[in-house]
Amino acid sequence: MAQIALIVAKTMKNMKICPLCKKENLEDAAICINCGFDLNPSFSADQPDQPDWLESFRNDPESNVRDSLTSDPNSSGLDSSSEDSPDWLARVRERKHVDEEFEAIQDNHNLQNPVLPNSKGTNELIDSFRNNSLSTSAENAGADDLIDRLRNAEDDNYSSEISAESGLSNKISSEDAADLTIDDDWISRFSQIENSSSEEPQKVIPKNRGSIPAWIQQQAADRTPGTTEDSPENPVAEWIEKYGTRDEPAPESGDESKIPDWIQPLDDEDTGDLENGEEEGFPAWLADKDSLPPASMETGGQSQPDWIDEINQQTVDEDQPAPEEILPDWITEDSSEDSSEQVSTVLAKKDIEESEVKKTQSKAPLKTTMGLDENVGKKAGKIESDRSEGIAKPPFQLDQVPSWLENNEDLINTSFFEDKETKEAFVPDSTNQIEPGELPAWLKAMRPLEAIIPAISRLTENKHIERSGPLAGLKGVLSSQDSNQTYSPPPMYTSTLNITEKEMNQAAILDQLFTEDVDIQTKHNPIVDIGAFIIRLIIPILLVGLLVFSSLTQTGLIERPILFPSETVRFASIINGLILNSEAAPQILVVMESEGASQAELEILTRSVFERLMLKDSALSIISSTPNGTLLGENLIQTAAVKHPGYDLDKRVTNLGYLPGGSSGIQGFLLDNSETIYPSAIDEVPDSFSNFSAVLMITDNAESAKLWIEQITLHRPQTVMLVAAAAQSVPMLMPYLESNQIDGMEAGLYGAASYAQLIQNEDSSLWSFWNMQKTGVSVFILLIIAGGLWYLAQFLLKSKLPKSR
Amino acid sequence: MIQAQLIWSIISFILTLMVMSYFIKDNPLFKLATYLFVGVTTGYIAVILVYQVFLPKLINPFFSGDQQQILFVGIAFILCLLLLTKFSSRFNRWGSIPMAIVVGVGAATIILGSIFGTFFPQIDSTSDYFQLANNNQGNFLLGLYVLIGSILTLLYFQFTTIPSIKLSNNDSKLYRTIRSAGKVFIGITLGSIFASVILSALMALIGRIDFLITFVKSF
Repeated sequence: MAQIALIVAKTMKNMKICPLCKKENLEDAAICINCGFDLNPSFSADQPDQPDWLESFRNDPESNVRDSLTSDPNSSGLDSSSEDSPDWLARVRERKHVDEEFEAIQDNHNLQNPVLPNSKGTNELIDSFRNNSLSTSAENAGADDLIDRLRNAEDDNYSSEISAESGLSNKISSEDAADLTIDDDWISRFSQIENSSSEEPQKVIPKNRGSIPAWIQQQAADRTPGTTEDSPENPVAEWIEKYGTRDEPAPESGDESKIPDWIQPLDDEDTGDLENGEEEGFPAWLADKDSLPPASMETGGQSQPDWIDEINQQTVDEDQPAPEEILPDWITEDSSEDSSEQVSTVLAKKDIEESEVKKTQSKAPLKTTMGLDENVGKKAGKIESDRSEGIAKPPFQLDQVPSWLENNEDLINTSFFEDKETKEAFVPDSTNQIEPGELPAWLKAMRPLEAIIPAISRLTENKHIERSGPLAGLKGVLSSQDSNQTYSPPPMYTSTLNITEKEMNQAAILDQLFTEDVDIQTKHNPIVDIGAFIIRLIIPILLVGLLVFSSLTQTGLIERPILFPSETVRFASIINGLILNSEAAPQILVVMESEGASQAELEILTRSVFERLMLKDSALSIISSTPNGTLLGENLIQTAAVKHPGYDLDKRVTNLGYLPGGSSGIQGFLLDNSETIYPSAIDEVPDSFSNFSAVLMITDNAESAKLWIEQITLHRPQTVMLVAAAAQSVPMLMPYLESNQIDGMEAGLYGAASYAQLIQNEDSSLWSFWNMQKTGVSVFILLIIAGGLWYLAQFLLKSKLPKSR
Repeated sequence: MIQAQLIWSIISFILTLMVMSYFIKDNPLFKLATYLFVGVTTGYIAVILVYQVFLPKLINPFFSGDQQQILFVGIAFILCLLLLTKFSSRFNRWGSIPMAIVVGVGAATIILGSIFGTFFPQIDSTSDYFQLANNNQGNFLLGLYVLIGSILTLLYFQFTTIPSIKLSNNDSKLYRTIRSAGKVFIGITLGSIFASVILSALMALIGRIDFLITFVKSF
């Protein structure tokens, strides 16, 4: 205690406050006399020599600390460490390790000093340290507030690092600012606290934090002015910066024998810089902490705690390309390979290990991304060499971003790192245990893009850096290259249809229908059945032979009609009335509704009628709703006129022509014949339809006859309607005969024969047709009966065969 | 004149034999004869349409000098031109105007004629058998036969099921019996029509045979 009081008295003006316990220490103190906290930064890695800021700090510590931190980021160990910003995970581990070490120290200290006068003040310090109050308004409350604030600041840094994952640089800068304030605060408070401690020279030991480690006690006991002079003059700023960044104390000691064992391993890494530190008059390990890489710790010949060693080792690792041993096997295997395509393949296969990949990327500066790139490795090595040479220049340019900084969110948000995998950005937080969302399977199935372009292609790490051309140094500007490299064929999907049994049956029926249709189309010509062919020849030959025989023989076996149909009787009566009762020659409208198929029959039907009308020199006007009807009508009249050579066909027969329009044309003709008939015949026909004496409709088409009958019934119901119909149209016209819409009808050959009988006309051709028709009908009747019997026999045989079997 | 009739008789004789060759089987001679008939008929119809329809009823009125007639014919001519747009896929909708007029007027005429020319007269004819003052008063059985036959035939074409009437249900035995009886009347009607068609066909054959015999006898 006496030694400490002496030191305080000497360094009243230039004293430094322990950030842990807020106790004042000598200016050249390496560790806190109260808690053993390392008052010198332990991560001054990159400066081979004593930095300039240290010299300026000697002259004006309070004013130069800030300047040295803000003006030249490369001049302090903090900045050098910020360049090599470790991953958050490493920080978590380091913090945990530091906490354990610190608690162990406090426990040990409490055991050795259970009750101390200033224990109360120590608790306040811890409480204020936890309250994360960076302001120095409560600096008079004691140095305990500083510890709490630093601890809380550490917690904030940790949480912010977790949430941002890679936004390390910003945090470093913010921490720098915080540390600056802390630095100023504790420096300004240093003299006050030290004065109070000088007034009560006693051990300043935290109350409930255990006893101080033995090495600290020994240090305090053995500390001499000479040893203090060996320590760096003002390493406080850097170690606070380091503390703000690393959040861990860096205990140091000028005496190797008094340093605990956990500091020892650090010395193994230090090499030649040791001598330089000794030459400059302060402990080599302190010089190493201030300005040199961790290897300089060896210069002091002092050991360093393991956690410091780990931190230093990690710092070195971050500056240099990660060794192969640190990386997982799957990355080291791929390191020899070239492109990110293989990385993407590996990542695609190891989605589950994605978190591990992140860890690995944090430890080893992204061997999976730029770490695999040789250029990046070279750049990292170049930066390292620049540091070793003490060249103060930016650690990297924007186009030479180290691989480990690719996780930095701020840099990724620039235009060069636009793509950022959301899934990677997710960091499980203790307060927000939200797992990364995953699309449902059906939605993934609807996104063939993901099937073709794997998700890895969108990873930031998969971006390609242009090495030449105007885009050299830019990353991911040619996105098509990634797609080409990471293209994979689309996955195979099953094409099996899920259909029900009913649908299957319906499909089978449909298939059967088409199959039968194809079979019908592909069938060959049926084999000619000789029996059918013979029957086909026999029937017409038999029919024609019998008809010819009947025509030639004129046998008297066929009787002429005796019973005359009533319609034929009325037909004959009307014709006779037109001839006999009218004084003038009757004007008969001949409606020819035939297309020539029944021309022979119609000729037989109408021959005797026209001959009868020609006796009275009747005027015949021919009209038809079929184009060739008038021609056929003229032919009938000409045939009938053979036996009446005195009948002037040119004058008494008028061809009114074709009547187009169907029912509309018929209606128009009935209403105004002058508008519809053939113009050249206008003068030869009556002015009105009602002036016709009768309408003689010759037809073999029942439908056309119906139109005439309907329209005449509708518009000219008083018109005398006579019909000479072929046999095929008679059944359809009989209802109109029954309804008296047709006044008389000569139906078929039977009607013609009846009419001939009624008028006693001996037309040889008529009776020849009569005989032939009867013969033919007899043949048809026989054929129908024979066919019926044949099929009846087949039916009986088929019905008996199953019974016999 | 006699030579012309002879030539046409020879042509008719040859064509008749060509058509009758179908008795053996379908052959080119039969096809040639049928194609010839179709071609001649079509050509004749085309000439008839030009000389009896287009020229006298559509073209010549423009030169008649009658303004009213020209107006009507002009409208008809425009409608005819619109009808030609049916050949164009772009303007075919304009052809619907004359088509609508033709179809509409034709349908109206046919419906009107069917109602007042067929439907009402047939109902009146069917009921005449049951009128005592009618001349057919003695044919009550005939009238009953016509009435039942008409009802059963119409019921056979009743395909609409009326839920409220069980008789209209196809599962009804009575309805099925009625429909079966209606089929009998329909069968009789179709049988008579078929017999009439056979008679007409037989008459056509007889006419050709008579022509052949007459032609042969003429030599």
